[in-house]
Amino acid sequence: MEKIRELLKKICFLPTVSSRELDYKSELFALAGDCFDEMYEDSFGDLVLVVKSKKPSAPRLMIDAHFDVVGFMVSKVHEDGFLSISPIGGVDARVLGASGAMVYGKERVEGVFTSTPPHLLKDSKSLPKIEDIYIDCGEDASLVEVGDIVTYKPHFTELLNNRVSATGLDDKACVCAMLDMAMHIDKERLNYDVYIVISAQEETGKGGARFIAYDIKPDIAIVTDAFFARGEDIENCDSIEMGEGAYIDASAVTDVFLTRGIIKALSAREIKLQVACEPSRTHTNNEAISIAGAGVRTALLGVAVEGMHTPSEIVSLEDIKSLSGALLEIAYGEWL
Amino acid sequence: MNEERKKQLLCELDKICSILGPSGFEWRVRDYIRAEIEKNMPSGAELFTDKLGGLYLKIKNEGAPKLMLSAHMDEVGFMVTEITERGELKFGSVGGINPLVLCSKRVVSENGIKGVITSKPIHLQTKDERSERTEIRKMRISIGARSRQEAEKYVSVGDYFTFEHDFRVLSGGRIASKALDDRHGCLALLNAIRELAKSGKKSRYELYFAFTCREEIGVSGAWCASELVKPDYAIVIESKAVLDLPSVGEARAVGALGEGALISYADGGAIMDRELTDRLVSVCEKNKIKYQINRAISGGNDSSNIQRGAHGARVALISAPSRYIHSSTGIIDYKDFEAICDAIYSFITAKED
Amino acid sequence: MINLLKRLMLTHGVSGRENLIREAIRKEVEPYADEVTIDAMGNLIAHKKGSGKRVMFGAHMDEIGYFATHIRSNGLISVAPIGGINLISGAFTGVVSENGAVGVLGTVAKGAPDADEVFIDIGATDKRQAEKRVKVGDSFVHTPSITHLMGTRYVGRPFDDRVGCAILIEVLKNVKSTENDLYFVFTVQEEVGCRGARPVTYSVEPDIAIALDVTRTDDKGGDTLNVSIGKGPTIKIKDASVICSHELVLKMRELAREGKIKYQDEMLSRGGTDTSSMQIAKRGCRAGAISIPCGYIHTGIEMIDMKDVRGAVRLATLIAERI
Repeated sequence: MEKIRELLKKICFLPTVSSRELDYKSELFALAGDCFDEMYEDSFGDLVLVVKSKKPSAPRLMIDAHFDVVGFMVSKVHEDGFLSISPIGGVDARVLGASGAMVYGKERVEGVFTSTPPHLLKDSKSLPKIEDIYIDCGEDASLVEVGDIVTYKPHFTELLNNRVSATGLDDKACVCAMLDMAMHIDKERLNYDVYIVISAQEETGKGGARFIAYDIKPDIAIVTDAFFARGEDIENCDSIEMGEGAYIDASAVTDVFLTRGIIKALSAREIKLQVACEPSRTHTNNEAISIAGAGVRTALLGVAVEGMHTPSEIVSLEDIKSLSGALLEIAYGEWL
Repeated sequence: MNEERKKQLLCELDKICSILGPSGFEWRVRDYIRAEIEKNMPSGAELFTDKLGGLYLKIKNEGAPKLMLSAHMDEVGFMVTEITERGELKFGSVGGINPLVLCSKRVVSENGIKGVITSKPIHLQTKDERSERTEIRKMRISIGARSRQEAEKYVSVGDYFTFEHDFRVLSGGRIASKALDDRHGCLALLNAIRELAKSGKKSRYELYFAFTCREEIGVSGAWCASELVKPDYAIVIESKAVLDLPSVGEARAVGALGEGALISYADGGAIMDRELTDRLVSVCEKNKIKYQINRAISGGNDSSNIQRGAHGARVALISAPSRYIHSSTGIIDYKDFEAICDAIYSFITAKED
Repeated sequence: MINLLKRLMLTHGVSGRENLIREAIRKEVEPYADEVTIDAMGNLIAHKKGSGKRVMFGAHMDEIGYFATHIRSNGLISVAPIGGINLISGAFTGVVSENGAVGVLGTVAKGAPDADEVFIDIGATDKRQAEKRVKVGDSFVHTPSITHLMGTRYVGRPFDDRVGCAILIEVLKNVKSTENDLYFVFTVQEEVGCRGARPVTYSVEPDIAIALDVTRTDDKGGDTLNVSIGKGPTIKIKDASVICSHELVLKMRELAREGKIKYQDEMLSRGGTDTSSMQIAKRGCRAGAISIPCGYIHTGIEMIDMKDVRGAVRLATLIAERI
C-alpha cells in the first residue's frame, strides 16, 4: 500500500490540466520506470506505455485512464493582483470560494479564489457565476500571463482506513492503478501486448483516447475512470461503496460479453468487483474509444471517488490496489 | 522594512493561527499566549483570567487612567451535530460562516482527525441544484470512516472542527491563512508586551492587555472584560473585511489591503470615541505609520460591548484590512499588520498627546 | 486586397448553400494552386505541393442567414435562422435571397424577437406572387455591404469569415519557396457547428491545422476579454470549443516575434471555430487558429481594421513557409 500511496501522491502533484498533459510527459515516464518495452506520445497529448507479451503476434489490449484534470486558464491579468479565469472541464462554482489556487506562470504563484460576502451578492439564493470569481495572487501578478494554467492548490491529506484526499483523483487514481498493474506484470503469463494509455482531454469532451485507439486498433480496450462514491445525499443507483474494491460498469455502450466474462472469471478467482450500472451513457472515454476506427470492444472499470471535481476528492488506496489486481487478471485472461 | 522582524513575526503568526480555538474552546490559544507572555514579563505585570477563559495582563501604574487593549482569541469553526449510519458527520457552524466557502474544504477536529466537507458532486446535481447554494445542513464531513461505530471511535457529537491550517505568504507579503481573524490581533498585543519588557518603557496609562473569548458568537467575552477591568479607555484590535474585490467595485469597498492600519470612527456596533480615535490617528501621523480610515459603517466586534459594559468606556478600533474572513483562507497584508503593531506600541508609550 | 475582400463579401453563401461563394473562390485560387478539388460536403481544397510537413490552413466560406420554410397566404415568407444571428440587429433591415429576391426582415415582437417571430416581406401581395421569386428552401442573407470608416477601419458584412477566405487567398499568392506541403481549405457549414472542417481534415491528414476566423473583442464594454480591434491579429489559446495545441501556440508566437508581427493573445470562454473539428479528425492533429478581431459579430455591421488583416496575412505566410 505504501508504494501506491507514494505513486499516487506524485501523480496527483502533476498539474495536468486538459491540453497541457504533455508538459509532464517526462515526469510520468520517469514514474513509470523501466518495465515498459516502448513509451511514446501522439500529437494530441496522449502518452502510451507498451508491455509486449512473450507470445509472437499477440492480440492487443489497450487500458486507458485519462491524465487530465479540471482546472482553469488565466483569461486576463488585472493590475491589482487579481486574475480573471476561464474554467476547463466541469467546475462547480460552489467549491471555489476562498479555496487555494496554484497558478503556473513564469514561476509557481499561489493564490486564493475570491469570495464575495453573501450580503453583497445581488441574489441571495443562487451561486455566484465563475465569471464573477477571480484569483487573488497577493499584491501583484506580474509573473502571470494570459493562457497560464491554474489548478486547485495541490495537497495530499491522509484520512482513516487508507483513504486519502487530494486534487485530481479523477482520474489519477486509475492512472496509478494502471502503472501499479504494469509494474507487477509477469510477461510469461501475458496473453496480450498491453498498451497502457494515459490519455488527454477527457474533461473537455475531446477524448484524446480515441486517436490512440484509432492508431493501436486494439482487440479489446479497458477504460478506467472514477465513479461516484456512495453518500448521504447520493442515490445508491448512482454510486458505489468506497473501500469495497474496484467496480465494473454494466452499460449498453460497453461490450456485454466482455463485461460479463470479466465478472464471471474474476469472481471464480475470488476477486470481488462491484457492479455499477449506467444504462445508456457512461460519460467516460468509453464512448470515444468504442467508436474509434471500425469500433472497439470495451469494458469500463474503476474506483469510487468522493467529491468528484472538487479540490478535495477522496479515494481508498485499497480500491486502487483492487483495480490494479483486476487489470492484471484481465491481462492474463482469454477474452477473444 | 526590518526583514529580521518580519521573518520572526510571520513565523509567530503561522504558529498562533495554527492553534485550534473555535469559540468556547479557546484554551489552547490561551495556554500558548500565557506561555509566550511568561517568557518575558514586563516589570510590575500580573496575569489573571476571567470565568469564560479570557486572559489578562495588567501592568500596574497606580492612579493612572486605565487603558485596555483587546483582541479575541476565538475563531469560527464547526461542531458535530450527528454521526450518520454511514459514518459521516453532520455539523453546524460556530460563528457566522458563509456556506459558499465550505464545500470541499479540509477540516480537522480537536483530536486531530482530518476530514473533508463534501456535498453532492456537480455531475449528480439536478438542474435547479446546479445554480442553488448548498445549505450547511446538506453538507457533511467525511473522515474516511465506514460506519457510525467506527466514526465514534474518533469523533463524538459536540466535538469541534476548524479549517485545516495552511499558512502561506503570497506576493508582496500578503498573508493567507485561517484564523487570522483575530490571531493577528493577539500577536500584535503579544508583540507590544514583549517590546515593553525589552525597552522597560513606562506607559502613562495603567495597561490591561485582554485576550477575549467568544467574540464570534455574539461578542460575549467582551462583557466579562469590561466588568473585570472597568477601563477608562479601550482600543480593540480586529479584522475588517474591506471588500477591495473586483466583484464588489471601488464604490462599495471599505478600504484597501496594503494601505495601512484601518481606523474606524464608527462601525455597525459602536460609534467610537472621537477624541481617543483622533489621538490614535495623530500617533500614526507623528510616527509616520501608514493608516487609512474605514469608509463604511458596518459590522461589529468587541468594541460595542466594551463601550457599553460596566461603567462604559471610551473606545477606539484599529483593524487589519482583510479579505475572505471567516473562511479557510483569510488574507491580510504584512505591511498593515506591522503598522498595527507599531501604532499600538507607539500609542501606549507616547509621552504626551 | 480590399477589392478581393469586397468581391467575396458581396457573393452569397449561407451554410449549406455555398455554391456561389465556392465558385468565386475557385476562380481566385486556381491560378496559384497545383490542384484544386471539391469534396463530398462541398469543401474547396487548394493544394500547393511540397515534400515537407503537411500544413493546412482553413477558413469557412459560409455565412449566417435564413432558409425560407413556408410561404404564407398573404405572401409573407416564414424563415428559420441558420447560425447564431443577432435578431435585435437583424429586424427591420434588408435581406436578399440567393436568386436576388430583395426583401425586408420583419417582426411583430415588441422587444428582441424570438427566432419564430420573424418573417421576410418581399413585397408580394399573396402566396402565388411570392412563389414567383422564392421557393421554400431558398436562402436569404442580410444585405451584404462594405464601407470605409476612418483610418484603416471598415464596417459591413459578412466579414465573418470572408476576411479569413481573403487572407488564405493572399497567403496562397504570397508563399515563396517552402518544403512544406500546403493545403488551403475553404470549409462549409461552420456557422451551424463546424461541420465541414472535420471530413476535410480527415482527408488531408495534416500535421498542423490552422483556422482563420474572426473573434469577439472587448472594446464595447465587458472586461474579461483581452482582444481589441486594431492591435494585431490574435493567436488563439482557447475558446469554448477548443483548447489549441500548446506546442503550436508557442511556435506561432515565436514566428510572430521573429517576423516582428504584432499579435494578441486570445482567450475566450464563449464561441467556437473550425479548429475544434480539425483537432479531432481521424488521428487528431496539432491545431490552432489566427483570428481577426471583429466588432459586432453576427450583426449587419461587423467592424474590422485592415491593419489586423494585413498582419494576419504576414503571420500566416510566415507560418506556411517556416513552421
